Amino acid sequence: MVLVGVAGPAAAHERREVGQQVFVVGFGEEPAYAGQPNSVQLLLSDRKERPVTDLGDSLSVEVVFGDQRTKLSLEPRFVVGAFGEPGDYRAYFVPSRPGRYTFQFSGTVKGQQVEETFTSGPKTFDDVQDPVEQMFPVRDPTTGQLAQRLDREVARLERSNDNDGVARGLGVAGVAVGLVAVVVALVTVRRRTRA
Amino acid sequence: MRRMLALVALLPLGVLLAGSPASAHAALQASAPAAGALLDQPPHEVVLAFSERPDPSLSTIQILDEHGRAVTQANPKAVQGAPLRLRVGLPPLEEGVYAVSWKALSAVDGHLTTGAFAFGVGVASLGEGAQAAAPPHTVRPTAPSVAARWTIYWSLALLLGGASTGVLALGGRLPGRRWTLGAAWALGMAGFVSLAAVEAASVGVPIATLLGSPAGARLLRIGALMVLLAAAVLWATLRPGRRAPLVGVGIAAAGAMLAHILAGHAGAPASTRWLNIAAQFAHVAAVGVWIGGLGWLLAGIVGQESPERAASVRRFSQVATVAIATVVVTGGLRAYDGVRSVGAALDTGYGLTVLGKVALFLPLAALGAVNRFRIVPRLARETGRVHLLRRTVGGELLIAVGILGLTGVLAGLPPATQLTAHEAEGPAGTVVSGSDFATSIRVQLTIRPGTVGPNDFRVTVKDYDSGQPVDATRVALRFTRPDVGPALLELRKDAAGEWVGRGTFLAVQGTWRVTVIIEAPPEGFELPLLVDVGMGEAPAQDGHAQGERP
Repeated sequence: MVLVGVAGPAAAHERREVGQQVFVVGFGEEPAYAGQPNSVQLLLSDRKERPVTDLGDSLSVEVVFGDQRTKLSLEPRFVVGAFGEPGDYRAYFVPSRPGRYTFQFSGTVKGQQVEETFTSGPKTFDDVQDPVEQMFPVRDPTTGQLAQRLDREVARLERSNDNDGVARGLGVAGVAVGLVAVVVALVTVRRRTRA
Repeated sequence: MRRMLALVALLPLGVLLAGSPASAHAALQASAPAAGALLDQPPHEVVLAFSERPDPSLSTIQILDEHGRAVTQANPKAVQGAPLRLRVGLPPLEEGVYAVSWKALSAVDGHLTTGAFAFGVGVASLGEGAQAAAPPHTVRPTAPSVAARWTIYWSLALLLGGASTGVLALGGRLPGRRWTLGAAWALGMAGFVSLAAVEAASVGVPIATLLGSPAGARLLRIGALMVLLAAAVLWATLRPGRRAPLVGVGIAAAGAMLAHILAGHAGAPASTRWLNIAAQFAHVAAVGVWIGGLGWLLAGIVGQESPERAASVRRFSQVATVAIATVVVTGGLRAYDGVRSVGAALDTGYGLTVLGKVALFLPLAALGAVNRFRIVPRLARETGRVHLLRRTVGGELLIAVGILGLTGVLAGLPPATQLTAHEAEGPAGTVVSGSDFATSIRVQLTIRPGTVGPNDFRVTVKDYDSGQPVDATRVALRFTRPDVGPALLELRKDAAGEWVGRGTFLAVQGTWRVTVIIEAPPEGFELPLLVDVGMGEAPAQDGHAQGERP
């Protein structure tokens, strides 16, 4: 029997009930591309789908990539009755590397303690992708890739300089040995001539 | 002793009843769509690739929808330039799960294999508890098919053995009545007709249809040689006591043996095909000379002892010694070709049957040695010893009954090497490699077997400059094609810098973009690689597809 393990495409956002609230979490811009401005998006409402519009600064989010993490504050991206979608909170950042990102929310919502973790993936929300695959007509490297390349080349240059120093030292030593040999030879010839 | 020998003679029946079912013969190597594939776009055709050339006229591929209705009535056709493949065109398919039920008759040896698998179009899964593929099944050798082969073997052995013994040991004169040779031929002809009837019944077609197909051509060749053999037998019957007609019978019997061999395992396509055929022919011919000759010898030593008879027995014994040595050497070669490993010998019906043959051969050879080195020398010196010879020769023939029965079983089973080829040899697979723009890492992706269907994936991640394994925290593969939805495979760490996974992600033939996702915080990489995926019978690629750099 052949078992099939095919994951479906990523859902845009992950929806989760947290106490009396409903969290809908994902990237503000999807698909999310490395090097492109983006945000953590939290669509916050109560269980009756009424948006929570008075979050204030009681909740923050930490963005985690591997063992790297940064703490961000959530800002409302709406003014009730004026623009935006009520309950839409954002924490802006630029994901600089492709891969799986985790958003850890901590704080309180309407007095209720919240510690929730959302991780991108096929069943939640999009991972961050390398934009190069989508570029047209020319595929240019991202700023992050250029920076990585620069770091690599600098490191290679430094290793090359170190190697140059070693080569120079060996050259000087070789010349010195040669000079000593010439002196020894001259002394030997002179002694034989006298004899 | 007699009971034990009788038990030995019945061994093939036991193997027939207790033998493990074969799981493949004209084995399905790959399919497009693959078993379990979930496609976004409906396929235009279903293509199946087999390990042996199937006969399109007697093979079927049925595509059934979720309600069990056939979505196409078309017969499969061979793919031009790829005789191991069968294809059937499809009408536009709606979303849903489809079952592919196939039946393949090998044009090489006439064995029938069946199987089924499922694929989905526009659905997220095949359904709760659904199997992607049922295990392939080779139709087991039935008692009538074994009996038919058994009679053919005995017939040809008696005819060749009669010819060789008559010419080399009995001075051109065979014992028994004039019609004995004709009876031996009639036995073989009856077996041949029975075999054709059994094969036609197993495929579900009339004998005439079977004989008119490419798979039936091999039966016609055997039939033609049986007719030729009939002419030679008639000549020998009308001209008794002459050597030339017996030589003719021997040549015609050997020809029929060769035709039978070409239609069996030894005749299957292989790099050593002609060596296999030569070894098998030498083996079968030697068995005929030895075992068939024993039958005539037994008939010849009935009655009063005489110096002439003792001399005949001695001459036969010398011929039989050469034949036994040939049987041992060629039998060893054929057993190795069909089994190759102790595991295969113990785990497959084919291997167990070979072991059964060996187990029966040992006492047979021991009896032969007793004859050659103890009884035959005494016959020349003493009288009253011929009853000993009759007893041992009778024992040899009884064991031979069992051995030829096991041979009939063996001919209906797929060789163990065919069943275990993938595990034993390990497919070379497809290897693609690449690096990121920043020249930070080098990645090598190995896909085994690298064909449509289930595959093993291994990713090696190394530092671009030092070649040291990169300590990544996550490695995953993303599979994309325009006609198939994206799929993600999370790999698990196998060793430093080595990540592995398995799954049916390469569902259709063609070029796939496989993006290797590597997280080694604070860095993260995506390396898109292009992979060409075929159907399986083509030689494995090695570095064929190149890594694609941004």
